[in-house]
Amino acid sequence: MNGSHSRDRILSRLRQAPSAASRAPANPLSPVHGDPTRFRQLARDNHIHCEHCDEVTQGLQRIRQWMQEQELPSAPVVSGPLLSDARAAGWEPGPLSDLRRPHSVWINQSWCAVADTGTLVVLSRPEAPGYANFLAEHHWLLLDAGRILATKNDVWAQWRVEHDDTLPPAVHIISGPSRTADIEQTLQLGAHGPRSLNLMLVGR
Amino acid sequence: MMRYQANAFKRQANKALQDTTLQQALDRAQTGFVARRAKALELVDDFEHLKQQARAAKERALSEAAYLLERFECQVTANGGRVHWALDGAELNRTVIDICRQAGGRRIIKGKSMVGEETGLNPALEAAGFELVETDLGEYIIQLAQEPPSHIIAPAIHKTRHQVADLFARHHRQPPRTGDSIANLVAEARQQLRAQFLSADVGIIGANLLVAETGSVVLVTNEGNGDLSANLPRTRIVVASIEKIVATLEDANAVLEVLGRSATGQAMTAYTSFYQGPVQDDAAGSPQSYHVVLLDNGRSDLLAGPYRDILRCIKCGACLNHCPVYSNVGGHAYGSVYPGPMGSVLEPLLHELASTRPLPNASSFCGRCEEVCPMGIPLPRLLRQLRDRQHEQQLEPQGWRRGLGIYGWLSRHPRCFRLTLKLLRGALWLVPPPFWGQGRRPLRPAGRGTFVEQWHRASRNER
Repeated sequence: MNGSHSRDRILSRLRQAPSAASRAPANPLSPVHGDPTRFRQLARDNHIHCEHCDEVTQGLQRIRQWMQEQELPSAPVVSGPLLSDARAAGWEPGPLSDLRRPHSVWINQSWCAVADTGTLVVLSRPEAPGYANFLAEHHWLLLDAGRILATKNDVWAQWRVEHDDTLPPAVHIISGPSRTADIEQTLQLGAHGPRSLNLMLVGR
Repeated sequence: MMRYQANAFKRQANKALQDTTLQQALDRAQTGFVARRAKALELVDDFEHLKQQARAAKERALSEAAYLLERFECQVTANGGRVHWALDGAELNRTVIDICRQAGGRRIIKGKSMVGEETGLNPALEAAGFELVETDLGEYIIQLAQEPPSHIIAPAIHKTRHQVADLFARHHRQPPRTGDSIANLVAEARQQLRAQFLSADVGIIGANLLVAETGSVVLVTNEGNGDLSANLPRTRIVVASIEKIVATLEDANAVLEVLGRSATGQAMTAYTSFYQGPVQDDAAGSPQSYHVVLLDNGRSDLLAGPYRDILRCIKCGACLNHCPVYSNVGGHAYGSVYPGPMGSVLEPLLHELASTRPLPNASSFCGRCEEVCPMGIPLPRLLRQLRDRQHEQQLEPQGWRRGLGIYGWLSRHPRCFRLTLKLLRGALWLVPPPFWGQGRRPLRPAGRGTFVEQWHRASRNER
């Protein structure tokens, strides 16, 4: 049996079913901003460590200090758009392949956040591929404080305002570090992905 | 592939009731899942409203399923992927094997997929000579134990930490661990699987939703293993059943609102990823090879029939966690891929009714499953319809049918009915407790007279 034959048979059977579709609600036109206090509270509930800075370079310096406090030996890996800021802060970040090493740190930008669920939204890009968000042992995200939206639907509305309908290859909605409760229903952080997720809110 | 043993439910359930380790694990699961869901719902202003929105999104999708699946296919193709269609499990397995062969690699990592369990994908790939490692911690544990999953979202729920520690000690070539703490076990699995993620040629994942307007595959996880499996290998294969389709990103969100809360008591799981196309990585040079294999396996026949409602199921597991039958016997007793109330409806529809005889009867009809189902699936009604079909096809055991015939006659002849009750009540006093078997309480008549006599007496007293 070939795939095209199966395709036709499946679609033909589906077409035999009665169709009584209710209309989908119209896509919201303009995104609504969310409450930053609620966002921070829910992010903390999701085991996200939150900090605040006035500008990106200052935030990167604080992350460097955090790495020293945590006694993390290697240089962090920094996503493309943040590279020049990192170099301005006096860093020489490691290549993406460093993320395979133990104690690796990945610093990336969050595209926006969702206040309702304390969630961060990250886009995959060629210079900041999606796997980096899952391979690193510690994950830092920088977020422009003006990009906290109210709900998940506002994320798509924001995308439509800023871009066309075509999404990037992957959109990752991240609500905390990797976790599992597969053994005796006991929660453990750091199952396969990052053991810690840290947020640096930039600006006011 | 797991041995299909749904018809042995009664024997398997009795065995499960005697298994004290399993009973402890089930107690833990019951309190964990049920309490977390209840807490998550308390934090929502109007969960009923969220349920209605999710249900409406799925109904819209089912009403236009053919159009939406074609649109999904178009979008995936435009984004650089390829969609394959499989009428049944065997065709899905063949398609995946062909893609893996074309990829030219032998090592496969896999995220959790109930569709993969349904089609017996793992044994098919292993028989074709591939090395396959499950990467979800629960799936990894049961792969080492060579057991089927016992829960649709927590496959190793029946295992204790000591059983997991023994399994790891037998299979991992590394120095003995200091203590069997759960943290140590998780760290050991992380270390073992890290090497697998980094060396795999093909990654296979399931899908929680498919979005027609963007060609997105939505993957909901907590561990991050699914995303590592989707992103690291040079070939990504998604296996998904056709009813996962929704029309828009907003409709996907409507389902996500109820999925995490109903499954694990989370407003959002740690990772929800929308995959539109293959990985584009500057360092890799060429894009990943990306395939989506859509499985029908009888679902398209259900769409126009009386069991259509089951196609709204989002596999959250809430009906299992709240079912008094599942909570007492666990998933393996069902002898099928999908256990619990949703499985007792879906399995007879995916297989022959004759090979799943006990499943529609593995319910007390207490109605909890329908009450907690975020998609409003009338599970007790569907189970009743299946029982009716079993009766029409004369699939029940002869003794059962004869008993039903006698009961039917007695219920039409009230005097005889009352006399029989009286006689049976007297007979019950003569039955020694061991007659009812180990693990069951001996049934003793309660109160003075038969139930009907007691009822009449109470009614007279009220007047």
